[in-house]
Amino acid sequence: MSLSSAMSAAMSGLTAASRMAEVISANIANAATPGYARRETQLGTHAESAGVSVLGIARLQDQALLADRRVATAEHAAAAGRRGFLETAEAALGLAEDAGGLTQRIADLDAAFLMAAAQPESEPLLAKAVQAAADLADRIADAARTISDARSAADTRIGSQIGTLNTSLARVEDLNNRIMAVTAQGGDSSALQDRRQQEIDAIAQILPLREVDRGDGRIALFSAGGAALIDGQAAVFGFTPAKQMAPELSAGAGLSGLTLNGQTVDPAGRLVSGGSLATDFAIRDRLAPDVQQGLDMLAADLIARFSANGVDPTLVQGEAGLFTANLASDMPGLAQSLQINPRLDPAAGGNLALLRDGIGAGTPGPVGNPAQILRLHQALTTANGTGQSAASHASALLSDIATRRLEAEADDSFATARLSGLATSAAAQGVDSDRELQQLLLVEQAFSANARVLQVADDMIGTILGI
Amino acid sequence: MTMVSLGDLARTLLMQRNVAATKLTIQTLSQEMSTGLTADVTARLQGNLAPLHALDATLSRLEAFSVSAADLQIRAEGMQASLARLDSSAADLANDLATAESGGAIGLVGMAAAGEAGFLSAVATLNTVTAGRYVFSGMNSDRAPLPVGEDMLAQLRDATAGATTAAELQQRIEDWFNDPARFGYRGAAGATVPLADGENLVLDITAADPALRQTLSAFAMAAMLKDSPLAMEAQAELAVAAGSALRAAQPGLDRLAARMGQAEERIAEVQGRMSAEKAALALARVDMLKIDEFETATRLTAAQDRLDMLFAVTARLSGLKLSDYLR
Repeated sequence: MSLSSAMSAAMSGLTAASRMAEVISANIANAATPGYARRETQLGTHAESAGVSVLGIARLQDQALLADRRVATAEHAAAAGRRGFLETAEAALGLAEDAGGLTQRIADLDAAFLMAAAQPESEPLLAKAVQAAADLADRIADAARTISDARSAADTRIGSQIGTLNTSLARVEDLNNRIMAVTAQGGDSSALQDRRQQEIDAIAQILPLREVDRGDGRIALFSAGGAALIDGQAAVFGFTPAKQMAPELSAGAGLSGLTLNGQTVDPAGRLVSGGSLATDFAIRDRLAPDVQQGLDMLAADLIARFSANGVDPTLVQGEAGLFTANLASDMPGLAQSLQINPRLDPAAGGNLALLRDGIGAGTPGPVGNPAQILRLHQALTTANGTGQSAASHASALLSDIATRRLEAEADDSFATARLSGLATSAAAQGVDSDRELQQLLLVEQAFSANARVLQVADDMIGTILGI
Repeated sequence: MTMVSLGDLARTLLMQRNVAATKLTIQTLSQEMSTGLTADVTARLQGNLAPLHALDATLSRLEAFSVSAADLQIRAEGMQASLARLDSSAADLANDLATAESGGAIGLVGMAAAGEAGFLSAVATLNTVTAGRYVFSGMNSDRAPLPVGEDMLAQLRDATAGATTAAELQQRIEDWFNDPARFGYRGAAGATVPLADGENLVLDITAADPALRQTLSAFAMAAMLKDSPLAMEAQAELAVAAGSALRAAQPGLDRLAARMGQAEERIAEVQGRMSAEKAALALARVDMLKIDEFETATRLTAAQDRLDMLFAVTARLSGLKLSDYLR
């Protein structure tokens, strides 16, 4: 019965054409959907009849490119986080040309001392010098608070990232099972695979991931460092965000560490390294405490300079000089509590003239005596135990952070360039609507040709029946 | 079958990125053009900020020194003017007193009045206030260096009571001025103030200076002529002695004026030097941070052209759709 097989071949051609049109329309509709991989209808010859059969819908995804892109996403997130923190730190200390910057405040104090020394009887100039000292202390304390806030923000971000990670891993596990079931029944799991890829992409910036195909439609996920995130079952990360942040807190002492399935994981270690999670841990545990320590040392230096022996002969050894803090000088967080000696601060009931007479002076000295102010100026500008003047100490601190910011910026631009290159490559493999339309033209031709075949065969059968 | 194709999103991504990058470039370059300075100082200095910080610190210190120097200048000028006033009034009085032997009793009365007025004015001159400060008080610039002239004269009268000869009176007056307890200088030593980096200026001319005390004691001798209990001859002798004492004091005053003049000159010299240094440092700072305007302008134009081109290409490409031709 070759005429009826001609008809069934034409039928199969019509079916294939409509299936192809469906796939093409799906492709065009999803041209801008993130995570959507282009589908292609796979055709084959039908085994028994002469017709065409749809073997399946292939989801075209370049796995190598995808893996590269995920690594680049993680790298970019890590570099951007680092850069962001260092920019914050640099701005907190004052950019180089900033009028209110740390070094400018020290230069202002230096100048204010000199002016007050030239006219020690001038009340406004004494007030100006005390104000300059207060401004300097404020600037350091403010910078320390900003750093502490950045640390606190990093801790909060870790908390929310761990939340995202746990939810997404659980969803991937669920999708894994559904894809396996659909595949086993011979269905089309492409849409589910798209969802799964979106889910994985969302966490790729938190941790760099490696995807391993388990063959049955399921995938296993490992961190680039080798921690199993999903292999059958989803792993669960544990982290408790800190209720409040203080400079003396550190990981294990007031701040939460990281656990994976109940096991303690070193957040700076290899297992979780490389993404925004590791960067936020680095900010919280290393970068911010580093800057904080630098500020604390500067604050301790300033306090020590003015309480050193001989700087103010009216003070007893160990009494606070121009600057003071309500913490011991080796305590973390010293910078945050740096202030000027309240005995000098008119706002706190102090006496400006003590700057000229000596903080511990019981009776007022000659109003024109610049000697004490000059000793203070000397204390500020000469190299002490740190081997530097206060200005060069601050300048070194700033230069250090500025250099690291530049490095982080270079890393970040590199990571951005790499990521956008890969994203463009991935997008290039995505839906090309022109090409889909060309395909559609073919489908249209095939459809009408098959329909014509069907009509002709029908005519032929009619002719036979009409004999 | 492998077909060469390019996803729709690829072109969009590429365009978006290029437009964003070009706009950022234009933003940075136009900021640099308008300020004339680099937009990222840290990057320009390769992260080594110490030289810039040192420049800024020196500049602000020079600013402070300039303010101080201007103030010192006013103070020194005030002191110089006072010394000149003392000098000329001493010379005038000495000339008057030179006629004492020929003037007789009437002349002596006039000289006594002139002598008292001269002493009072000399004390007032030393108690002068310049820019809110008693300049001859040394570090105690908030109080007058000497008591009021009348009080000093009253004390001197007590101290010289009973003296019968001009020589004895002169001796007692000189002793009085040489005794710090009786002379009553209420100031302190002169202050050493910073003038420039590592340079100090000592403004140590106070009312207690020996030359000034000598001048004052000569004026006081002339002032003692008034209502003097001395015999007429002794009064004439006193007037002559006062005149020569005034003349003898003048070289001391001249030396003080010369010292003051040196200080003024030094202040002026330092001021000149500092303003030159300030200008040089400000130039150096600009050199450190300035941009090459020609280069920046060229790059800005290039970036603008690039943006124009990108927009043109975007418009052209978005019209190139197969769907537009399928009718």
